[in-house]
Amino acid sequence: MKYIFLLLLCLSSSLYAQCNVENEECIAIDEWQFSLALGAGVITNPLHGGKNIPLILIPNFSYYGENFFIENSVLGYSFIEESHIAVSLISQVNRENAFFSRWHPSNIFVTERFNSAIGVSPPPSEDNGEEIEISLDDIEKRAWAIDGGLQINWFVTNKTDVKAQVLHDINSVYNGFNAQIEINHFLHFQQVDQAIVKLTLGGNWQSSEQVNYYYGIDTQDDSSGSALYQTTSSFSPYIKLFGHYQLTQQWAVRVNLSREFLSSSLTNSPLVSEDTLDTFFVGVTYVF
Amino acid sequence: MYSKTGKYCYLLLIFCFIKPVNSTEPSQIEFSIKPIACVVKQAGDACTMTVKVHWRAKLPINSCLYQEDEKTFCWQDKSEAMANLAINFKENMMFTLRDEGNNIFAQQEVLINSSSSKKYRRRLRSSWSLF
Repeated sequence: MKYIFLLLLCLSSSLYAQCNVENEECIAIDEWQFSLALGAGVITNPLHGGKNIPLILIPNFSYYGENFFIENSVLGYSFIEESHIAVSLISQVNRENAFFSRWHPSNIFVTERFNSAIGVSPPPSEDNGEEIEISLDDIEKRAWAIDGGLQINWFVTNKTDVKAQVLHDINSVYNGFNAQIEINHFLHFQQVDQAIVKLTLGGNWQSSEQVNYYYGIDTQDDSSGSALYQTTSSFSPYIKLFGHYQLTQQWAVRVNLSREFLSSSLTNSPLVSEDTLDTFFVGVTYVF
Repeated sequence: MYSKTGKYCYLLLIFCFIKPVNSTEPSQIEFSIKPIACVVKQAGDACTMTVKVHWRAKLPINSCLYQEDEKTFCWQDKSEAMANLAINFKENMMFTLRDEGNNIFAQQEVLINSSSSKKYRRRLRSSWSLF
């Protein structure tokens, strides 16, 4: 890790990160941007009894002022923004509750009819009680958390950037922290300059308070006390692949693939049935 | 899609005129810098170009050329001189010809203009953050 950091530092001193208006990662100041994606995809739900989230029609909006920005459910204020680095205070909706609730902001515009096909509760364990499974239908509802904290963007080169953030729930839902770090690398093709491919490697860290709030089992969930589960913090690495092909000024084709390898602190929970969290989407986007 | 900002610099070959200031003999010194403007694609982009500096006085003088507050060239007992200077700048830049006492013989500003009035930022979050 130390050597990767040093390598990135060397690269950053020789290359200059600039905002290229032809690139999706560059956005005009003081303009709202609205777009819609229409296609087919799914975000898997790793919980017993959890419903996968189909992706059919997805809205996207953003606004960047001189310092302030909104990117879907993320609000931010950048108090340092240089060519190589930006430091921002941000607030965003915590993702975890999306797996416990149908009415998470990220689930808006998702049609219900797909759930009957892909949201089937898993069959009871055949280990005859050795492995306890608890469906989210049988536990207390989890609340939405609004996180706030610090985000740092480091534009290492004009093709590579690193994003790191540390957040704390500001509405005292789980009273803990979470953090994320990821490195993004863009691939451009001289022969096909309408195409962009982005590869992301990263990891999500959750404090024990957050893991236990969402994935733990306490006496409110299980009054008998036979399946109580409390655990430690978690770190779940992930990989993402994003492809974008510009058809016209408004229309583009995009493909998203991602897999998050869930930490054992999560997968050992009686609530969790899957080891990974997958996202797939292919479709077209229209920018208004 | 990315390219050096220099690619976007289009030089405007606009003649500049004498602009004497606070000189003991201001009317006797001609001072010119060409070109006097650089056009970049968007505000905030840097421009890299080479400017040609030329000055002429009726009598020999000792003088220095300043790029803002930085001394770049000096001449001793010359009545005319020419120099090429590579510059990289993001905002308008003032050039002055001064004597040894730091008095300004003449000055000229080199302008940076953007072809688009829009300003841009890097996205700080991925769009479609649902993914």
